[in-house]
Amino acid sequence: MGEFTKSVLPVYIVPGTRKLKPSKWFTALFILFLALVPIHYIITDSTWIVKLFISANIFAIFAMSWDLLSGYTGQENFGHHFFVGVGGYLVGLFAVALVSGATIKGVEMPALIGVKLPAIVIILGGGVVGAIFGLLIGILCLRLAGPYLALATLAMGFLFVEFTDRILPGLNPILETHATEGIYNIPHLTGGNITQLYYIVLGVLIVSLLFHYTITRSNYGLLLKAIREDETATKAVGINTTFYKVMIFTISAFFAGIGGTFLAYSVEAIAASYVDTHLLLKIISICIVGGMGTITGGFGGAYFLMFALLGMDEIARFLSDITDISGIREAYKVFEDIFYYAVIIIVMLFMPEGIITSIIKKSTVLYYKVKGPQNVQADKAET
Amino acid sequence: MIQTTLIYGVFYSLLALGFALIFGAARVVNLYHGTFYMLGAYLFTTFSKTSQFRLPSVAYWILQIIIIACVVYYVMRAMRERKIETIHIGKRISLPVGILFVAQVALLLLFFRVPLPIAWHFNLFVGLVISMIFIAVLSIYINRYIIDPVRDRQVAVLIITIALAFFTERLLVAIYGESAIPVPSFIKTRAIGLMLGTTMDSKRLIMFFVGIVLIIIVWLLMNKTKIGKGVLAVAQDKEAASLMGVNPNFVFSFAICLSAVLAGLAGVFTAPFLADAQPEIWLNPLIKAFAIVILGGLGSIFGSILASFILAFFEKFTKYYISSSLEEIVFLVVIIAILILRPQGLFGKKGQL
Repeated sequence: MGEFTKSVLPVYIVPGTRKLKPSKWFTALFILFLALVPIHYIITDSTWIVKLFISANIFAIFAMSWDLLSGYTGQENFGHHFFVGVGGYLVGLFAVALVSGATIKGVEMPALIGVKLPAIVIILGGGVVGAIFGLLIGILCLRLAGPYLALATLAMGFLFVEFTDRILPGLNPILETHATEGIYNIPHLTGGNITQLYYIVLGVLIVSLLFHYTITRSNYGLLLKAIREDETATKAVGINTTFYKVMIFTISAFFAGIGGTFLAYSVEAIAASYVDTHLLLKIISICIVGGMGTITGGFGGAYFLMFALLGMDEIARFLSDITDISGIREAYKVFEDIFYYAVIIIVMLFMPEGIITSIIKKSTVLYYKVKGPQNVQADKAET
Repeated sequence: MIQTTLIYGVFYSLLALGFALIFGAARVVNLYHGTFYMLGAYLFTTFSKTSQFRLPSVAYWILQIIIIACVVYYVMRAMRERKIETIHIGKRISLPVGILFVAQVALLLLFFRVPLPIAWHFNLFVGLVISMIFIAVLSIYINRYIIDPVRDRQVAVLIITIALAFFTERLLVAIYGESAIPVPSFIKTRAIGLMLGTTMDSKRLIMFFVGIVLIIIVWLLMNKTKIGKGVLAVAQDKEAASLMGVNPNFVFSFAICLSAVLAGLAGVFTAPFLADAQPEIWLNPLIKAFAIVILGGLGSIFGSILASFILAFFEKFTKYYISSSLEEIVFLVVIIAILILRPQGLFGKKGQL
């Protein structure tokens, strides 16, 4: 913000003077609400709401880790689905493809690995292997910035999809039977108990939310913001920006890998079509809706989009009930795919700050307009 | 293999020339480029055949909603600019009303099978011209309303164009369905004897000659005409060019229009033998065009043509002598390696980024 903006705009619109964050009470109530979601399953015995919330939780993990790297540090990474895919395929390989035998042309073939690893090791391993890939890609792409970094990482994502789709099944006849067009029949993480799975995912989500929130609101967060705004100036102050960039790449990839393992466990399958560019665009749309560069935006955006889709589904059902036009439900199914892309385009064009951020900002402005200017001065004195 | 290399080289140069033009002139990485290729194949098929495929009713609703949303947006914009009070029956009102009327008539004809006065069966050449006009207009609108507002932020351009490409893909799935539609060809399939006893598919041969002619036309357009020199001037220095009387906005529109038409023509002539019109065929041309432009240096026309032949050779070499499953990977590896090792490309100067 230059001097010009400060002198022209009223004090309550200048970004940075008011901290625009939802109140702690609201966050606590929302997390309590999330903790109570399985009641729906207990009452109605239908699992789809809980499954929807599990997927929203997992997407919130992806979105937060993408936001840490791309929104906060300004290193736009378009290869986030790579890390997610690494985690997911690790589950696929170590829970199914490598540890189960196959009958090929009437001959019993033993499994490639005799030992079955416990799930916790696979999940942590997904995070660690994702982090190793994040470290490698971070070091490789050090010289790149802006659109060139984005395109290089996007190409790596395509490379991963090509690898899992074409090369991985060709490595070994056992892999060919298990891993062609995806790995299915991944065992349940909790023995089919969906409430337990829900609470595990929620726990991981809250841990990663706390981690991301703490790291970005500490001095390190300030440093990352400095790298985003002007890397040369940050380097000139004597800060080792290379180290921090690679470190954030690794951390972001770690959480994406862990989220990827849960993605594979919750849908009980992993395929290249689950982790292709569609996934990246979903993550980006969540972050854009919530507002980039605010970790809570990724958290809120996932639920915002989930509720929006849920509401659209209800409206479509209502309309098809009352109007007798059969096309509406079909049209909605097509729209579900289109929705994310339309959201990206519309939000980027008309609300570059994100839906949630602009709602909060507008309501803040409205609040002060109602309250009157003398109280603005008082609030300014407080902050 | 030399034959295949030459044909694919010409095909890739068609794709890459347009991509290099936008990249060089407007500094915009247009990830929608592959979709122009796909739209070329689809629209050409639609306009040059009697409607063999039946459009589902879902498509009707989607098109209706889009049309109404566009008209509402247009009227709201006009109202916000406060021109509606002053001009009662003028361009501002008559245009949306006209669009609404024509669109409704078209939808009625399409979906409710009102008997058409004229059989909807255009000549192939007429179909080609109509689809190319459609693509050109679409590209100009995309440039004006989608890319222009975010032109200064390059990463935003990337996100918005790739989202738009996926949006178009899903829209085409809704309208035409997932399955492949055969694209009509200008020439019947037969083997044509060439010198030294080799033969070649006639569809590939016609593509080869059309491609060569188009490349020569673009070359002349860029180097001999005023607007081509304007494009090159804007690519070198936008501010200086605009001081010399070149309108950069017009140059951006021209560049994206030319590149879209080139990609669309590539789609029309390549789709009959490469892959029929499918909703996923936009991704591979995009990756290829991008890899070629990266290798050839950003905005360098000669570099792009040379790089497309080099990469076509490597791709076919990998396919025939190593493994056909590694064919697609060549381009991706080239993108990553060049971006990391030599960001200015083989023929670009340092600091041209």
